[in-house]
Amino acid sequence: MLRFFARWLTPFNIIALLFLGGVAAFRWFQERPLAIGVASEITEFMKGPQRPVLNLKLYFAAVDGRNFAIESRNITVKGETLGHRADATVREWLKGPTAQGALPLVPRDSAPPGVFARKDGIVLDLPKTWAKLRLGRSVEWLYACGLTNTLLGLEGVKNVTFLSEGQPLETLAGHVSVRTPFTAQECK
Amino acid sequence: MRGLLISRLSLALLLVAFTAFVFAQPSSKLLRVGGLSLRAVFPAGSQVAYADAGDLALALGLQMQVARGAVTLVQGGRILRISLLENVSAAANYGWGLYVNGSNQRGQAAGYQGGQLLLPVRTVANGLEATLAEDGAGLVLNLPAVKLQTVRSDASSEGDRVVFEFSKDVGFTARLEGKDAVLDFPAASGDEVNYEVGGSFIKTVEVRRGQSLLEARVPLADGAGFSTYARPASAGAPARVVLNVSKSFVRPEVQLQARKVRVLLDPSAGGADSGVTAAGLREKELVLSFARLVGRRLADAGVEVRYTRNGDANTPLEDRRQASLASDVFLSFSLAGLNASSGSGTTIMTLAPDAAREGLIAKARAALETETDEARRRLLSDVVAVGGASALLAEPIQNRLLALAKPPVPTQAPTGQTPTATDPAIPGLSVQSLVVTREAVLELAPKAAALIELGWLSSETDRVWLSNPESMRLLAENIADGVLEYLAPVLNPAGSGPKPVTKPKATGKP
Repeated sequence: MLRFFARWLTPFNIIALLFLGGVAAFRWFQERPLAIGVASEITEFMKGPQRPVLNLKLYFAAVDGRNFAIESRNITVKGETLGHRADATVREWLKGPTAQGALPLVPRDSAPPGVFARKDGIVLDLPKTWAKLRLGRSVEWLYACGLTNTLLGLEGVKNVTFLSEGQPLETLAGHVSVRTPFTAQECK
Repeated sequence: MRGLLISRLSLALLLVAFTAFVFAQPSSKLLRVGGLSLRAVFPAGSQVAYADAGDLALALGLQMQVARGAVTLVQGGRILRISLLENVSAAANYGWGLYVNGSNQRGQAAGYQGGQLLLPVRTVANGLEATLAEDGAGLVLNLPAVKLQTVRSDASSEGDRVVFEFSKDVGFTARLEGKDAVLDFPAASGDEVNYEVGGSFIKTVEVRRGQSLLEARVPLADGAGFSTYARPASAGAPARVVLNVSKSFVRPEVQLQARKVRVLLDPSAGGADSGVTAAGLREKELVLSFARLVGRRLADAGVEVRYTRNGDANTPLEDRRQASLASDVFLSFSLAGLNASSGSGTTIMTLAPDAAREGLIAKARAALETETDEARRRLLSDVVAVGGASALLAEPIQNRLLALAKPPVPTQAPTGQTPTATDPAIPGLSVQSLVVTREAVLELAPKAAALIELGWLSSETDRVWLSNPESMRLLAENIADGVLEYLAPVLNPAGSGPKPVTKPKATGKP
């Protein structure tokens, strides 16, 4: 019996088996059901082009509460991945505006969200407290698009997905549906 | 040596064939449902089977309604809501697209491909507790077995009725074939029997087994019409499908007009969620008392008014969305607030038209012209009513609120005096309309729907009138009158019945 198996245990057969296993694993990885926004399935810190100093456009609320006030800032980023740059961008946005005529859209002392990069988008895993912000529809829209527009300024980012504690969210804070990713077209 | 070479070549060929097999992407497969054969398609890069929504619903005997953001399928007491995305490729990657009787389950979303509405077959099967299997010929969807237990009938001079009782909820389709009403029950089994009814309109009922379905054929008397409805199974009572036949059959569109118009009012927040708060004012309390003012005015005009909450409780978003499905007008009330902002005023928001949905409405409108089946007419009528309804609702409301915000200019003044402008009915009120996207609470409302952001609690100006009962009364009455103006053609089709107020109520100053 052992001799029978030993006869088939040739280098060619072993390589062929490894190849088949690799193909099957690749197919499984490509076809696995992907629940949008489940944190465990997100490729964290996808590598992007190196750029230590970032020129950001941060979108805050204008004083009228209906439009954006845009502030430009340069920041230095530790780390070279898109995930690092997105994380630094969100933290800078959380510091709030410095110029007159602009207002923060979330409280300045809020805990930062988890920031992940995947494919051509950014996933923001918001702390539970963010979903409890009560702003009304008008301001909630500015909050969603303020964050989205700020992150879309990063090279290679085409959409922004919102989660809360790793789970899909129905609405950002009671009004704005966030079941699908936000794109530049929606937040013009 | 030669043998070794041949065996290795064979192995290499096998390897190539296996790789090709693994990478092979079937673009479509045969899908057998009941006695029908459909085509299941696979969106690019996906192994999720999809089928044409209309064909699948017909094959399963389900009633289907397409609203913004969701497809609703009804089988007796089981209601499936499947999230609807524009692109079927994105829909195939959706993780939690299925609600069964309000409970969220894993499943893909529905989506459009080249204008065709597609449903995820496995998600539908899971929602119906059906099985989806694959055999050599393709996919097979098997509904759980359901048995016809009894057929009962009532005969009277007014009309005849046949009641089919089943062991569990069953889907069905009804059609007219010549002078026979024919009901098909997919996946149902039962004895082949001829029943004698002996009524004025129905003499016999013939039950026959077809391919994976049960068929009931009911010859109708000359000039008779029929209607059908289903009653879900409940404790102690079987699931029922009822066939009514009478001469004085009322056409479905007349029935729709005859029933009371239903307005659903949705005050936001509630319970532990106070909503926007400022200076001791809380959104949950302001919008509830405001909704009651609007509701009272509408009820006085003969409209059926319902609330998503009528006390200090928080109604989950999904329940509010589901409730909106049964409304003719859906109005949600909320407030805004942003510290240090100058934002103020009332904003009337309606959802932007969805191109794919508008296309569906146009198709439904065309189909309604020729459709004779009662159930389909009713379904189509609901869809047709959607076109532009929300914009038509927002317009009279906005006009009335603008009249409250602007000072009324007198047209005549005593001789020798120039007319002088007086203060507006609600000083400081500004009004605007917005067409928005992604407003979750409006997404499922099948007819006219709007979110009215009454004002900004962060604004000192708005707080003055938001906390003034007289201002709130004026605002509520004018919104209600705007709704009545929108509903006037239904409420008062022949110039009789309740008369909606035609002029903005801006008398008196708070």
